[in-house]
Amino acid sequence: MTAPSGQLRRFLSRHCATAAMDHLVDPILTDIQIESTSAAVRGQRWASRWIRAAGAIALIKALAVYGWTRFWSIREWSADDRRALIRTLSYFAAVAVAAIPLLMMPFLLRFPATRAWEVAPYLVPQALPLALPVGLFVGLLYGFRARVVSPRPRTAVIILAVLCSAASFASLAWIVPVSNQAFRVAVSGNERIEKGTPEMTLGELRTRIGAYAARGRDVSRMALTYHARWALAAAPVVLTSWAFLVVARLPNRRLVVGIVAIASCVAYYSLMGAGQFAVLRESLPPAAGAWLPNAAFVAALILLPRRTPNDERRTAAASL
Amino acid sequence: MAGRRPRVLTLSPKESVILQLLVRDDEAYGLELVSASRGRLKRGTVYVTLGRMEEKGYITSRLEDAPPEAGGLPRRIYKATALGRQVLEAWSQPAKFLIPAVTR
Repeated sequence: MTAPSGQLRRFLSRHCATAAMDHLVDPILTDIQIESTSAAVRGQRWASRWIRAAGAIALIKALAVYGWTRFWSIREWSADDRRALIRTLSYFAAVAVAAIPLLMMPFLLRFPATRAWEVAPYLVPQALPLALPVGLFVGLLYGFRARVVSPRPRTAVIILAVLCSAASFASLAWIVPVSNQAFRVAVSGNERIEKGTPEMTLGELRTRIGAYAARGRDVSRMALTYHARWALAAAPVVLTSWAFLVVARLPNRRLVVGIVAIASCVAYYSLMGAGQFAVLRESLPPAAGAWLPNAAFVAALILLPRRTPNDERRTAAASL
Repeated sequence: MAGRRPRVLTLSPKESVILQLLVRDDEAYGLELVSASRGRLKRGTVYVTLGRMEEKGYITSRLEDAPPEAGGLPRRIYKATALGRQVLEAWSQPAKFLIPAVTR
Protein backbone atom coordinates (compact mmCIF):
# COMPACT_ATOMS: atom_id res chain seq x y z
CA MET A 1 0.00 0.00 0.00
CA THR A 2 1.43 3.42 -0.98
CA ALA A 3 1.96 6.20 1.53
CA PRO A 4 -1.22 8.22 0.70
CA SER A 5 -3.38 5.07 0.70
CA GLY A 6 -1.79 3.94 3.96
CA GLN A 7 -2.39 7.32 5.59
CA LEU A 8 -5.97 7.40 4.31
CA ARG A 9 -6.57 3.88 5.62
CA ARG A 10 -5.14 4.76 9.04
CA PHE A 11 -7.31 7.89 9.17
CA LEU A 12 -10.48 6.00 8.18
CA SER A 13 -9.76 3.12 10.57
CA ARG A 14 -9.94 5.63 13.44
CA HIS A 15 -13.42 6.77 12.39
CA CYS A 16 -15.07 3.73 10.77
CA ALA A 17 -16.38 0.52 12.34
CA THR A 18 -14.43 -2.70 11.76
CA ALA A 19 -17.18 -4.06 9.51
CA ALA A 20 -17.04 -0.92 7.34
CA MET A 21 -13.25 -1.19 7.12
CA ASP A 22 -13.33 -4.90 6.20
CA HIS A 23 -16.14 -4.82 3.67
CA LEU A 24 -15.99 -1.30 2.26
CA VAL A 25 -12.79 0.68 2.79
CA ASP A 26 -10.24 -2.11 2.44
CA PRO A 27 -11.76 -3.68 -0.72
CA ILE A 28 -11.98 -0.27 -2.40
CA LEU A 29 -8.45 0.77 -1.45
CA THR A 30 -7.04 -2.61 -2.44
CA ASP A 31 -8.80 -2.65 -5.80
CA ILE A 32 -7.65 0.91 -6.54
CA GLN A 33 -4.10 0.04 -5.49
CA ILE A 34 -3.87 -3.11 -7.60
CA GLU A 35 -5.54 -1.61 -10.68
CA SER A 36 -3.47 1.58 -10.62
CA THR A 37 -0.21 -0.33 -10.04
CA SER A 38 -1.04 -2.67 -12.94
CA ALA A 39 -1.68 0.35 -15.18
CA ALA A 40 1.60 1.95 -14.07
CA VAL A 41 3.51 -1.29 -14.74
CA ARG A 42 2.05 -1.34 -18.28
CA GLY A 43 3.38 2.22 -18.72
CA GLN A 44 -0.09 3.81 -18.64
CA ARG A 45 0.69 6.60 -16.20
CA TRP A 46 -2.42 8.67 -16.95
CA ALA A 47 -4.65 5.61 -16.71
CA SER A 48 -3.08 4.88 -13.33
CA ARG A 49 -3.80 8.43 -12.15
CA TRP A 50 -7.36 8.26 -13.47
CA ILE A 51 -7.97 4.99 -11.59
CA ARG A 52 -6.79 6.65 -8.37
CA ALA A 53 -8.93 9.76 -8.88
CA ALA A 54 -12.04 7.76 -9.81
CA GLY A 55 -11.34 5.42 -6.91
CA ALA A 56 -11.13 8.31 -4.44
CA ILE A 57 -14.51 9.62 -5.64
CA ALA A 58 -15.94 6.10 -5.44
CA LEU A 59 -14.65 5.77 -1.87
CA ILE A 60 -16.28 9.04 -0.80
CA LYS A 61 -19.55 8.07 -2.47
CA ALA A 62 -19.48 4.57 -0.97
CA LEU A 63 -18.83 5.93 2.53
CA ALA A 64 -21.65 8.46 2.13
CA VAL A 65 -24.11 5.81 0.93
CA TYR A 66 -22.98 3.34 3.61
CA GLY A 67 -23.17 5.93 6.40
CA TRP A 68 -26.57 7.17 5.30
CA THR A 69 -28.13 3.69 5.00
CA ARG A 70 -26.61 2.56 8.32
CA PHE A 71 -27.77 5.70 10.07
CA TRP A 72 -31.39 5.31 9.00
CA SER A 73 -31.48 1.53 9.45
CA ILE A 74 -33.63 1.77 12.59
CA ARG A 75 -33.61 -2.03 12.99
CA GLU A 76 -29.94 -1.84 13.93
CA TRP A 77 -30.50 0.79 16.61
CA SER A 78 -30.49 -0.32 20.24
CA ALA A 79 -33.84 -0.44 22.08
CA ASP A 80 -32.87 2.65 24.12
CA ASP A 81 -31.93 4.57 20.96
CA ARG A 82 -35.22 3.69 19.29
CA ARG A 83 -37.28 4.56 22.37
CA ALA A 84 -35.44 7.85 22.84
CA LEU A 85 -36.12 8.93 19.26
CA ILE A 86 -39.74 7.72 19.17
CA ARG A 87 -40.56 9.38 22.49
CA THR A 88 -38.85 12.60 21.40
CA LEU A 89 -40.81 12.69 18.15
CA SER A 90 -44.09 11.84 19.90
CA TYR A 91 -43.69 14.55 22.55
CA PHE A 92 -42.45 17.01 19.92
CA ALA A 93 -45.51 16.44 17.74
CA ALA A 94 -47.94 16.52 20.67
CA VAL A 95 -46.51 19.68 22.27
CA ALA A 96 -46.10 21.55 18.97
CA VAL A 97 -49.64 20.70 17.85
CA ALA A 98 -51.05 21.69 21.26
CA ALA A 99 -49.00 24.92 21.41
CA ILE A 100 -50.22 26.26 18.05
CA PRO A 101 -53.90 26.81 19.08
CA LEU A 102 -52.77 28.06 22.51
CA LEU A 103 -50.58 30.70 20.89
CA MET A 104 -53.39 31.67 18.51
CA MET A 105 -56.01 31.86 21.27
CA PRO A 106 -55.36 35.47 22.46
CA PHE A 107 -55.99 36.75 18.92
CA LEU A 108 -58.94 34.48 18.17
CA LEU A 109 -60.77 35.38 21.40
CA ARG A 110 -61.30 38.87 19.99
CA PHE A 111 -63.63 37.45 17.31
CA PRO A 112 -67.01 35.72 17.40
CA ALA A 113 -66.67 31.92 17.05
CA THR A 114 -67.67 31.69 13.38
CA ARG A 115 -65.35 34.53 12.40
CA ALA A 116 -62.51 33.04 14.50
CA TRP A 117 -62.63 29.82 12.44
CA GLU A 118 -62.34 31.87 9.25
CA VAL A 119 -59.26 33.83 10.31
CA ALA A 120 -57.52 31.05 12.29
CA PRO A 121 -55.57 29.58 9.31
CA TYR A 122 -53.85 32.96 8.78
CA LEU A 123 -52.38 32.79 12.29
CA VAL A 124 -50.89 29.28 12.02
CA PRO A 125 -47.63 30.38 10.28
CA GLN A 126 -47.05 32.94 13.03
CA ALA A 127 -47.49 30.34 15.77
CA LEU A 128 -45.26 27.76 14.09
CA PRO A 129 -41.84 29.36 14.79
CA LEU A 130 -42.77 29.60 18.48
CA ALA A 131 -44.35 26.14 18.76
CA LEU A 132 -41.56 24.18 16.99
CA PRO A 133 -38.66 25.00 19.35
CA VAL A 134 -40.83 24.48 22.44
CA GLY A 135 -42.08 21.13 21.11
CA LEU A 136 -38.59 19.98 20.24
CA PHE A 137 -37.18 21.10 23.58
CA VAL A 138 -39.86 19.35 25.64
CA GLY A 139 -39.72 16.26 23.37
CA LEU A 140 -35.99 15.95 23.81
CA LEU A 141 -36.13 16.33 27.60
CA TYR A 142 -38.76 13.61 27.95
CA GLY A 143 -37.37 11.37 25.19
CA PHE A 144 -33.76 11.33 26.31
CA ARG A 145 -34.16 11.49 30.09
CA ALA A 146 -32.51 8.62 32.01
CA ARG A 147 -31.37 6.85 28.85
CA VAL A 148 -27.99 5.68 27.66
CA VAL A 149 -28.08 6.57 23.97
CA SER A 150 -25.57 6.40 21.15
CA PRO A 151 -24.81 9.37 18.85
CA ARG A 152 -27.42 8.12 16.32
CA PRO A 153 -30.62 9.48 17.96
CA ARG A 154 -28.71 12.61 18.96
CA THR A 155 -27.72 13.17 15.33
CA ALA A 156 -31.31 12.52 14.21
CA VAL A 157 -32.59 15.14 16.68
CA ILE A 158 -29.93 17.64 15.59
CA ILE A 159 -30.99 17.11 11.95
CA LEU A 160 -34.62 17.64 13.05
CA ALA A 161 -33.62 20.84 14.88
CA VAL A 162 -31.86 22.17 11.77
CA LEU A 163 -34.93 21.32 9.66
CA CYS A 164 -37.17 23.09 12.21
CA SER A 165 -34.88 26.14 12.04
CA ALA A 166 -35.08 26.11 8.24
CA ALA A 167 -38.89 25.78 8.37
CA SER A 168 -39.10 28.61 10.94
CA PHE A 169 -36.88 30.81 8.82
CA ALA A 170 -38.96 30.18 5.69
CA SER A 171 -42.11 30.90 7.66
CA LEU A 172 -40.76 34.10 9.27
CA ALA A 173 -39.13 35.40 6.11
CA TRP A 174 -41.90 34.84 3.56
CA ILE A 175 -44.99 32.99 4.82
CA VAL A 176 -45.81 34.98 7.99
CA PRO A 177 -45.76 38.38 6.18
CA VAL A 178 -48.16 37.09 3.52
CA SER A 179 -50.50 35.43 6.02
CA ASN A 180 -50.39 38.51 8.27
CA GLN A 181 -51.46 40.69 5.39
CA ALA A 182 -54.19 38.23 4.43
CA PHE A 183 -55.35 38.26 8.06
CA ARG A 184 -55.55 42.07 8.07
CA VAL A 185 -57.43 42.10 4.78
CA ALA A 186 -59.86 39.45 6.06
CA VAL A 187 -60.48 41.38 9.30
CA SER A 188 -60.71 44.88 7.81
CA GLY A 189 -62.37 43.95 4.52
CA ASN A 190 -60.03 46.47 2.84
CA GLU A 191 -57.96 44.76 0.14
CA ARG A 192 -55.74 47.82 -0.30
CA ILE A 193 -54.68 48.06 3.31
CA GLU A 194 -51.04 49.14 3.46
CA LYS A 195 -48.43 46.68 4.73
CA GLY A 196 -46.99 47.31 8.18
CA THR A 197 -43.57 46.12 9.34
CA PRO A 198 -44.76 42.59 10.29
CA GLU A 199 -46.34 42.22 6.84
CA MET A 200 -43.10 42.80 4.96
CA THR A 201 -40.94 39.95 3.74
CA LEU A 202 -37.33 39.92 4.86
CA GLY A 203 -36.18 41.46 1.56
CA GLU A 204 -38.83 44.21 1.70
CA LEU A 205 -37.91 44.96 5.28
CA ARG A 206 -34.21 45.26 4.44
CA THR A 207 -34.97 47.63 1.57
CA ARG A 208 -37.28 49.75 3.75
CA ILE A 209 -34.68 49.94 6.55
CA GLY A 210 -32.04 51.08 4.03
CA ALA A 211 -34.35 53.70 2.56
CA TYR A 212 -35.44 55.08 5.96
CA ALA A 213 -31.90 55.08 7.32
CA ALA A 214 -30.73 57.04 4.26
CA ARG A 215 -33.34 59.69 5.12
CA GLY A 216 -32.14 59.79 8.73
CA ARG A 217 -35.31 58.29 10.20
CA ASP A 218 -35.34 56.03 13.27
CA VAL A 219 -35.26 52.43 12.08
CA SER A 220 -34.68 50.69 15.42
CA ARG A 221 -38.15 49.05 15.54
CA MET A 222 -37.87 47.81 11.96
CA ALA A 223 -34.32 46.61 12.54
CA LEU A 224 -35.48 44.80 15.68
CA THR A 225 -38.19 42.99 13.68
CA TYR A 226 -35.64 42.15 10.99
CA HIS A 227 -33.08 40.69 13.40
CA ALA A 228 -35.73 39.02 15.58
CA ARG A 229 -36.84 36.93 12.60
CA TRP A 230 -33.31 35.59 12.12
CA ALA A 231 -32.88 35.05 15.87
CA LEU A 232 -36.20 33.24 16.30
CA ALA A 233 -35.36 30.95 13.37
CA ALA A 234 -32.23 29.88 15.27
CA ALA A 235 -34.26 29.01 18.40
CA PRO A 236 -34.78 25.28 17.60
CA VAL A 237 -31.03 24.70 17.28
CA VAL A 238 -30.18 26.77 20.38
CA LEU A 239 -32.88 25.17 22.55
CA THR A 240 -31.97 21.69 21.32
CA SER A 241 -28.33 22.25 22.29
CA TRP A 242 -29.50 23.52 25.66
CA ALA A 243 -31.77 20.49 26.08
CA PHE A 244 -28.88 18.09 25.40
CA LEU A 245 -26.89 19.80 28.16
CA VAL A 246 -29.78 19.91 30.62
CA VAL A 247 -31.05 16.35 30.07
CA ALA A 248 -27.68 14.93 31.11
CA ARG A 249 -28.10 16.57 34.53
CA LEU A 250 -31.75 15.82 35.24
CA PRO A 251 -32.95 13.25 37.77
CA ASN A 252 -35.36 10.64 36.38
CA ARG A 253 -38.51 12.43 37.57
CA ARG A 254 -41.26 13.59 35.26
CA LEU A 255 -42.20 16.52 37.48
CA VAL A 256 -38.65 17.86 37.61
CA VAL A 257 -38.32 17.48 33.82
CA GLY A 258 -41.60 19.34 33.37
CA ILE A 259 -40.54 22.17 35.65
CA VAL A 260 -37.17 22.50 33.91
CA ALA A 261 -38.87 22.47 30.50
CA ILE A 262 -41.33 25.21 31.46
CA ALA A 263 -38.65 27.27 33.24
CA SER A 264 -36.29 27.10 30.25
CA CYS A 265 -39.00 28.07 27.75
CA VAL A 266 -40.24 30.91 29.99
CA ALA A 267 -36.62 32.11 30.45
CA TYR A 268 -36.02 32.05 26.68
CA TYR A 269 -39.15 33.98 25.78
CA SER A 270 -38.72 36.37 28.75
CA LEU A 271 -35.23 37.18 27.50
CA MET A 272 -36.74 37.77 24.06
CA GLY A 273 -39.18 40.27 25.61
CA ALA A 274 -36.42 41.85 27.68
CA GLY A 275 -34.24 42.25 24.60
CA GLN A 276 -37.07 43.95 22.69
CA PHE A 277 -37.79 46.20 25.65
CA ALA A 278 -34.12 47.16 25.90
CA VAL A 279 -34.04 48.05 22.18
CA LEU A 280 -37.16 50.20 22.48
CA ARG A 281 -35.57 51.95 25.51
CA GLU A 282 -32.46 52.42 23.34
CA SER A 283 -30.36 50.50 25.87
CA LEU A 284 -29.30 47.90 23.30
CA PRO A 285 -28.78 47.97 19.53
CA PRO A 286 -31.53 46.07 17.59
CA ALA A 287 -29.33 43.09 16.66
CA ALA A 288 -28.13 42.62 20.26
CA GLY A 289 -31.67 42.87 21.62
CA ALA A 290 -33.03 40.37 19.10
CA TRP A 291 -30.24 37.86 19.71
CA LEU A 292 -30.22 38.29 23.50
CA PRO A 293 -31.98 34.97 24.37
CA ASN A 294 -29.82 32.95 21.94
CA ALA A 295 -26.66 34.66 23.20
CA ALA A 296 -27.62 34.04 26.85
CA PHE A 297 -28.35 30.34 26.25
CA VAL A 298 -25.16 29.83 24.20
CA ALA A 299 -23.17 31.56 26.97
CA ALA A 300 -24.75 29.20 29.52
CA LEU A 301 -23.88 26.25 27.26
CA ILE A 302 -20.25 27.34 27.15
CA LEU A 303 -19.95 28.15 30.84
CA LEU A 304 -21.61 25.04 32.29
CA PRO A 305 -19.19 22.14 32.85
CA ARG A 306 -19.46 19.30 30.32
CA ARG A 307 -19.18 16.25 32.59
CA THR A 308 -22.08 15.47 34.91
CA PRO A 309 -22.99 12.66 37.33
CA ASN A 310 -25.31 11.30 34.59
CA ASP A 311 -22.36 11.22 32.17
CA GLU A 312 -20.35 9.21 34.68
CA ARG A 313 -23.23 6.73 35.00
CA ARG A 314 -23.50 6.48 31.20
CA THR A 315 -19.77 5.89 30.83
CA ALA A 316 -19.94 3.17 33.47
CA ALA A 317 -22.96 1.55 31.79
CA ALA A 318 -21.31 1.70 28.37
CA SER A 319 -18.14 0.03 29.66
CA LEU A 320 -20.09 -2.93 31.11
CA MET B 1 -21.23 -8.34 8.64
CA ALA B 2 -22.64 -11.72 7.72
CA GLY B 3 -25.49 -13.51 9.42
CA ARG B 4 -28.59 -11.31 9.39
CA ARG B 5 -31.12 -12.87 7.03
CA PRO B 6 -33.97 -10.69 5.72
CA ARG B 7 -37.50 -11.84 6.54
CA VAL B 8 -38.47 -11.47 2.86
CA LEU B 9 -35.84 -12.45 0.32
CA THR B 10 -35.66 -9.40 -1.90
CA LEU B 11 -33.40 -8.84 -4.89
CA SER B 12 -32.75 -5.37 -6.23
CA PRO B 13 -31.75 -4.87 -9.91
CA LYS B 14 -28.11 -4.19 -8.88
CA GLU B 15 -28.03 -7.31 -6.70
CA SER B 16 -29.45 -9.29 -9.58
CA VAL B 17 -26.68 -8.06 -11.91
CA ILE B 18 -24.01 -8.96 -9.36
CA LEU B 19 -25.46 -12.43 -8.81
CA GLN B 20 -25.69 -13.05 -12.56
CA LEU B 21 -22.03 -12.09 -12.98
CA LEU B 22 -20.91 -14.19 -10.03
CA VAL B 23 -22.90 -17.20 -11.22
CA ARG B 24 -21.34 -16.79 -14.68
CA ASP B 25 -17.74 -16.12 -13.59
CA ASP B 26 -17.79 -18.06 -10.31
CA GLU B 27 -15.62 -15.47 -8.47
CA ALA B 28 -14.84 -11.80 -8.95
CA TYR B 29 -13.57 -8.74 -7.08
CA GLY B 30 -15.36 -5.37 -6.92
CA LEU B 31 -13.82 -3.53 -9.86
CA GLU B 32 -13.99 -6.69 -11.99
CA LEU B 33 -17.75 -6.73 -11.45
CA VAL B 34 -17.97 -3.05 -12.38
CA SER B 35 -16.10 -3.53 -15.66
CA ALA B 36 -17.96 -6.78 -16.48
CA SER B 37 -21.36 -5.12 -15.89
CA ARG B 38 -20.92 -2.72 -18.86
CA GLY B 39 -22.06 0.35 -16.96
CA ARG B 40 -24.85 -1.27 -14.96
CA LEU B 41 -22.76 -1.15 -11.77
CA LYS B 42 -20.89 1.92 -10.49
CA ARG B 43 -17.66 2.01 -8.52
CA GLY B 44 -19.23 4.10 -5.76
CA THR B 45 -22.13 1.77 -5.00
CA VAL B 46 -20.91 -1.72 -5.88
CA TYR B 47 -19.09 -2.24 -2.57
CA VAL B 48 -22.07 -1.09 -0.49
CA THR B 49 -24.30 -3.48 -2.48
CA LEU B 50 -21.79 -6.31 -2.04
CA GLY B 51 -21.72 -5.69 1.72
CA ARG B 52 -25.51 -5.75 1.88
CA MET B 53 -25.66 -8.96 -0.18
CA GLU B 54 -23.15 -10.57 2.15
CA GLU B 55 -25.37 -9.63 5.11
CA LYS B 56 -28.33 -11.21 3.35
CA GLY B 57 -26.31 -14.37 2.76
CA TYR B 58 -26.50 -14.15 -1.05
CA ILE B 59 -22.73 -14.00 -1.47
CA THR B 60 -19.65 -14.87 0.50
CA SER B 61 -16.17 -13.40 0.35
CA ARG B 62 -12.60 -14.45 0.99
CA LEU B 63 -9.30 -12.62 1.03
CA GLU B 64 -6.75 -13.33 -1.67
CA ASP B 65 -3.15 -12.12 -1.57
CA ALA B 66 -2.52 -9.10 -3.77
CA PRO B 67 -0.06 -9.47 -6.70
CA PRO B 68 3.52 -9.02 -5.43
CA GLU B 69 4.12 -5.84 -7.49
CA ALA B 70 1.02 -4.18 -6.02
CA GLY B 71 1.82 -4.94 -2.38
CA GLY B 72 -0.49 -3.86 0.42
CA LEU B 73 -3.69 -5.48 1.64
CA PRO B 74 -5.12 -8.75 0.35
CA ARG B 75 -7.92 -8.45 -2.20
CA ARG B 76 -11.51 -9.41 -1.33
CA ILE B 77 -13.01 -11.90 -3.78
CA TYR B 78 -16.76 -12.51 -3.89
CA LYS B 79 -18.68 -15.69 -4.72
CA ALA B 80 -22.41 -16.48 -4.94
CA THR B 81 -23.78 -18.78 -2.21
CA ALA B 82 -26.36 -21.53 -2.75
CA LEU B 83 -28.99 -19.17 -1.31
CA GLY B 84 -27.92 -16.43 -3.72
CA ARG B 85 -28.23 -18.79 -6.68
CA GLN B 86 -31.69 -19.92 -5.49
CA VAL B 87 -32.87 -16.35 -5.05
CA LEU B 88 -31.58 -15.40 -8.49
CA GLU B 89 -33.31 -18.42 -9.98
CA ALA B 90 -36.55 -17.66 -8.15
CA TRP B 91 -36.53 -14.03 -9.24
CA SER B 92 -35.58 -14.93 -12.83
CA GLN B 93 -38.46 -17.40 -13.30
CA PRO B 94 -41.27 -14.80 -13.45
CA ALA B 95 -39.16 -12.71 -15.82
CA LYS B 96 -38.58 -15.72 -18.10
CA PHE B 97 -42.29 -16.52 -18.01
CA LEU B 98 -43.53 -12.98 -18.51
CA ILE B 99 -40.88 -11.70 -20.93
CA PRO B 100 -39.76 -14.56 -23.19
CA ALA B 101 -37.44 -12.18 -25.05
CA VAL B 102 -35.24 -11.95 -21.96
CA THR B 103 -34.33 -15.64 -22.21
CA ARG B 104 -33.35 -15.57 -25.91
